[in-house]
Amino acid sequence: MSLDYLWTGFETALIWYNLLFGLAGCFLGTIVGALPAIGPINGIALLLPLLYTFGVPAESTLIMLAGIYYGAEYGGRISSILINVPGDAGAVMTALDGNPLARQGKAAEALAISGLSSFTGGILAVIGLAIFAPLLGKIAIGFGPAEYFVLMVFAFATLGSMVGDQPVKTLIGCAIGLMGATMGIDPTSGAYRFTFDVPELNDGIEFIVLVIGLFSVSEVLTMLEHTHHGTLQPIKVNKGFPSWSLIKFCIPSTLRASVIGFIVGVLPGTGASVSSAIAYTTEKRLLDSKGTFGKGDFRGLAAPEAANNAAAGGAFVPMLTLGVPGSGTTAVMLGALMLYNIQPGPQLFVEHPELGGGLIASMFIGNILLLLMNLPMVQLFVRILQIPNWLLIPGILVLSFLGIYSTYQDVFSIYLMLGIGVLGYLARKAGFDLAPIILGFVLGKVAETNLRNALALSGGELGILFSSTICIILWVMAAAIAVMPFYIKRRQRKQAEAEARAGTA
Amino acid sequence: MSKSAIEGPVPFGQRVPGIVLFVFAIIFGIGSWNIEYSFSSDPLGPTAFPLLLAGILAVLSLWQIAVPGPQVSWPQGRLLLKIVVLLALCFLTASTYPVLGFPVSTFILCVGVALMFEASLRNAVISGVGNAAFWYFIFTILLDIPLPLGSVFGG
Repeated sequence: MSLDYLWTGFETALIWYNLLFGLAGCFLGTIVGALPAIGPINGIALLLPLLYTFGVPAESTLIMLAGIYYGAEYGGRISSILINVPGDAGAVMTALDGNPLARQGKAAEALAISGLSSFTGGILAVIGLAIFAPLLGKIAIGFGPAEYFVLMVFAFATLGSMVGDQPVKTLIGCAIGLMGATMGIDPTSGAYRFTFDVPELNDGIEFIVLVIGLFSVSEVLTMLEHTHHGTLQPIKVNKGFPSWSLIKFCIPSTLRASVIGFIVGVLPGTGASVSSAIAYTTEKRLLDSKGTFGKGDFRGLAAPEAANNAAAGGAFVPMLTLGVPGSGTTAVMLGALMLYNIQPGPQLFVEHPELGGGLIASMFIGNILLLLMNLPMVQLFVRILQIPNWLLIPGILVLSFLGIYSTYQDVFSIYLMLGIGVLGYLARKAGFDLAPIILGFVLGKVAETNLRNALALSGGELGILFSSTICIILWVMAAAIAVMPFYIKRRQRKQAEAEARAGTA
Repeated sequence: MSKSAIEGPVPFGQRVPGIVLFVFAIIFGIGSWNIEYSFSSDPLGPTAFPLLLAGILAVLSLWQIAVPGPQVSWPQGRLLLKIVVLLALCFLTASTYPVLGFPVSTFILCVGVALMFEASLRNAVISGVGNAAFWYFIFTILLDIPLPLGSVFGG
């Protein structure tokens, strides 16, 4: 296997403006991650129209957006540890042990250990990405339209079974997203689908409008519920740095969690939050014989942080090589690439080595920059955490308006964005996650095109979807993963029963 | 957060999202069925995939109606009012944007939103001026993307 593409990648990533985009992405990512109000997906949604309108090349856009994504996994820990409010979804588990540690006066050590484990998870994931992405690409090179369509089915099955505790709602989200993608003129037949004679809808819903509506407007509406919480008072950070023995103490957990995080990240649809939860519970089960987890155990802090960073890296594997995003945030990045008319897939590393390789190389550099930013400069981000909502939220709204207006120059798109925002808000209130919608939307056109191409090849014979070995393997995997939650639930119930018995004994 | 006044199980209210989705699936299905086209080079054509999706959503939403999941608390009272006001402010800003221009409409939007996030009047004005100036600088000077100054000001 050749890693030649990495040389091209480093050449791309080391161009001064790409270094600058990467640095800016990592910096903004840490901020976005640290601010409880917004997460990486909101940050990327807000930034994408600016980069697109400004004419930033695809590889630089990807480098910056990716920087925001994995940077946010670093930043999220800051607010988890210091104010016990996770800065983003991937940092929920970090608060469990991180905040108790900060309250015991070990905030500096907690920030340093979590920074180091973030770095370890991040770097290991980039190495994994560099090795596995081209390998997976090679396997996928034999994929025809039928295989691709079944792959999408597999992706939705994983999504349904792994994300959230309500599979039906997740799948409904996917279906809505897929439906949204059918709007506009059908390229094969020229039919107008759901355009309602509105010329602005002839190309369907613009991706940027959808993303900003869902992840910016609905977020602002959600935040209206928390207006009177006042400013957040972070715990003061003491002076100190973890001893070598403390670092060594955390290494096994960090490494295990990195591997778990990477694998979970690679699975389509499951990202940082799922991986950190799995890593934390695994460590707790393995190590928590004295019941220290949840009361300030450094290993319980290191594990979820390593896992969420590793997952962020792993999520790029299917996104780059199969065109199937590994998380909601990578779904937005996939949509961003599609804006540039780049369809990621097995050919990506051959046709656009500067893109895949450049991204991976920039992630090596970015993780090092993030470690530097997040250890000595952590106070700066703590300061930023204290930006009051009355300044931040109007800013988010203005940026949303400007992003849409500067990209499309019409007011209709802003109305559409607001409308989508309201629907997104209502969906969230009803307990729906928004990430599946964006995944469905991004995959919709690809799924339909592949299904129709497959059936065009077979002359309308549905058997083609079950004809090849790869198809059958994917169907079996999809079925297996779809029934998994039921199996896990049964096991958990049995375990809970056993624990209850042990408790009474 | 204000506690919602709902006490005890509200079986019907929880099923509303499922019902709305089911109705949407049916409408979407009818719409898909009625897509007009003269010719398609593939056997499925432009209607099959949307129809398939409508069918899937219909089944899933029926499931959702049968098993609605945890209770949903809809915004009420003050919160609902806030949401409506915020949206009205946004729509107003959007529709007056070409006329009033970026600086003025942004100022109004930011002052309004800041007040909704419990800023004092002084802080709201700071937020309005600050955000308008900051984003104007970023867009017109840093990114070189022109912003409308408003037709009433001759911009």
